[in-house]
Amino acid sequence: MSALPPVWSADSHVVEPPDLWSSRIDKRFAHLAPRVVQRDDTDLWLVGEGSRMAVVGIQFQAGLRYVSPEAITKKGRYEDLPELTPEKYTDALDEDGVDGAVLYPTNAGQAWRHVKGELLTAIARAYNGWVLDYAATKPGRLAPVAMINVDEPAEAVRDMEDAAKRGACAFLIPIFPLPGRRYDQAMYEPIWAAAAALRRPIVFHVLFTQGVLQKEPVINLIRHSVKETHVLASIASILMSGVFDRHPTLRLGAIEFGASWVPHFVDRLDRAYVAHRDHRVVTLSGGALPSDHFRRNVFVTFQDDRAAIELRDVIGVHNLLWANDYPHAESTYPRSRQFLAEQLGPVSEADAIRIAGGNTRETYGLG
Amino acid sequence: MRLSAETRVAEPADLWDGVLHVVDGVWTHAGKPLFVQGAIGDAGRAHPPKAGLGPDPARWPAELDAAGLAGAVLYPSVAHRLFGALRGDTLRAALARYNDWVLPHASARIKPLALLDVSDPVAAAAEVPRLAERGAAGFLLPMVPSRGELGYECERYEPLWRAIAAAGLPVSISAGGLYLGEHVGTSVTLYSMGDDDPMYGWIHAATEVCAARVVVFALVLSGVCDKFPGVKLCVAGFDASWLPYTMIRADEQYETRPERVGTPDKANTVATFEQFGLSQEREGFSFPKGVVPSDRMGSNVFVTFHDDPVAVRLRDRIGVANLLWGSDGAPPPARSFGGLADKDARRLLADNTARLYGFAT
Repeated sequence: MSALPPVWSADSHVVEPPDLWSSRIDKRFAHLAPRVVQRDDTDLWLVGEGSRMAVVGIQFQAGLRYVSPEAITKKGRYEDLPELTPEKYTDALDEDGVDGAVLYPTNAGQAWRHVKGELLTAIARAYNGWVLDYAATKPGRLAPVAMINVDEPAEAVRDMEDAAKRGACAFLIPIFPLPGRRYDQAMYEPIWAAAAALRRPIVFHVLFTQGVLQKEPVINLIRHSVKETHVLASIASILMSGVFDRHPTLRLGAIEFGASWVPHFVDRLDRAYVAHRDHRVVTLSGGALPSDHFRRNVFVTFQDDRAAIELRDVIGVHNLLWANDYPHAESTYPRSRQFLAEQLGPVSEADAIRIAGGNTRETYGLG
Repeated sequence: MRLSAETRVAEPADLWDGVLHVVDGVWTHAGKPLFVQGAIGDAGRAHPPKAGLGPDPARWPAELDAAGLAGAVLYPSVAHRLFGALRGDTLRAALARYNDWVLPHASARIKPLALLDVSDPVAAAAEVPRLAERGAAGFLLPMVPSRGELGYECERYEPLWRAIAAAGLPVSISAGGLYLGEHVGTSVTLYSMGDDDPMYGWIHAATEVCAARVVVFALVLSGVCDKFPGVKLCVAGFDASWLPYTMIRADEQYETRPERVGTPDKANTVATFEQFGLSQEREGFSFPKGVVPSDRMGSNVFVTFHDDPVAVRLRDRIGVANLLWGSDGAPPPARSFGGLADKDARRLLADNTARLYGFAT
């Protein structure tokens, strides 16, 4: 491949302004809404009765990894951060050589770990209103993902329909729903049906989950290196309960987990499915294997995963979506094109077009 | 010549009389099946794993001959399940029965692993040289040290690593030595699953490898491999194509989020360790300049596989020296080995295992 094709990031982030919820949330929940407080030399997001929801520093430190990684910190003050307006966002994309970006939340998604029910719905609706307005100022370059509370599936469907009408390109739901629930349960069928009918994918993003983690390694870095456990469990429950048989056009995304986990994952499920016929929850129609459904219905995003590029024939080249994670500390900004060029060097032009941006535009329905 | 780095041996039905029983062909403890949910688990393999060697040690040489194997590293079919089923003295006694049964049959062709209870790391460390003296070719540890206990990244296990490094023998973990509720990193959502939940086994099959990843990370990211370079970890029962992602993920986290190597600033963190029910927090390990976690995986982590064409494709990424073929009695499968250069095939089928376990070649 000689030159890079059009580049779209399948996973970038907004930085929610500190007054987002105070200015937009249903007044009944104003006192419990996400708000920024100063603690010593840093700002924190609190939610509900005072749960720590998110930190400020790490979310706007793109590029530091190249020049001064030791300066990466969770500490930060909003007053020290430049406001990330849509204009500044697209300027940064230009600088990064990226044509467009799918926008995920930074702070809003953390609310899932702390609140539920009507408050969570109010938080999600306020966020959606803001991000949809934000992205609408840069059509064709910024594509917003709506955050959907799935505690009450019927209400979730109404929010999905509303968000789709207003320009949402995907529906972000928690990796695990409320404790005691799982996505293979029938109560979530309306959500799958709605997403399929609306032709927008359901997406799971790393760290955005309702099930509270219980027992974890005592070293922080290890905890964050095994976050894929949650998404593997949820995708397995969806695959093995036949959701994709019932909703063959539904697309499901695993966002910011990398991609080279896929071949081993589907191989395990295929082997178990073949070997343990008597214990199947459902038998997939047409003699399909779990890997067939994965390849048809599930996509994954990655930043730098050369093993996944090597295995694109196993994963499905149409399921590999590159992302820059801007403006978070892990972002490939401002060297995204260099990362892409190095990774896509050995692949055909047709595959490079897909992975660099074609798949993102197709999967999120961006024309 | 072929050497198997992972051959399961079928334990005699009367090995654990009084503790475990075979009822209608199913191993049971205290009236409950040892293999929860009957059939699915162990990373998708059959329960119990297909044994390459039968329960009669006198027949093992002939069985190796029939399988075309010059030698084999012996793993249990059932005994590693005891880590998740028994505790305390009962567990230690049951492990001792397995070790007492298998170790006397160690030979130039038969390299048995000894099972080691690690709930008391100092006691386990003392046991290491005794088991080595009796013929252990390595030590099979539980995937999670003990139900409810913290992981191998904790300092309390350092006496064990020191003893293992001194013995110069590898340690192993194996699929199957775990109950779902013990998964590190799983959520209360999963904990709420009952044994009779039809989805239980499928999620277990899909995610059990994540517990193996945690053990690899525990040894590498806590600095065990740097402090005790002689500690070699062999992961068995999952095949091997999970390892490249593990390497990539660890390097990515280490390089792009260096603040996570340290302990979280408690005044400025979302997920406090108290929230996770942890009793302590420990700093991660900073590698020497220019070294990343995958370098240590390359030098200290080995994986067995039976049939994994993806892993063989990625052998240069995993490390050709780190891939060890294992046999359940079947010959090397064509879909994994077809087209592989003789030199690489020889390493995967014999040389790597010979080097790690001391087989003569």
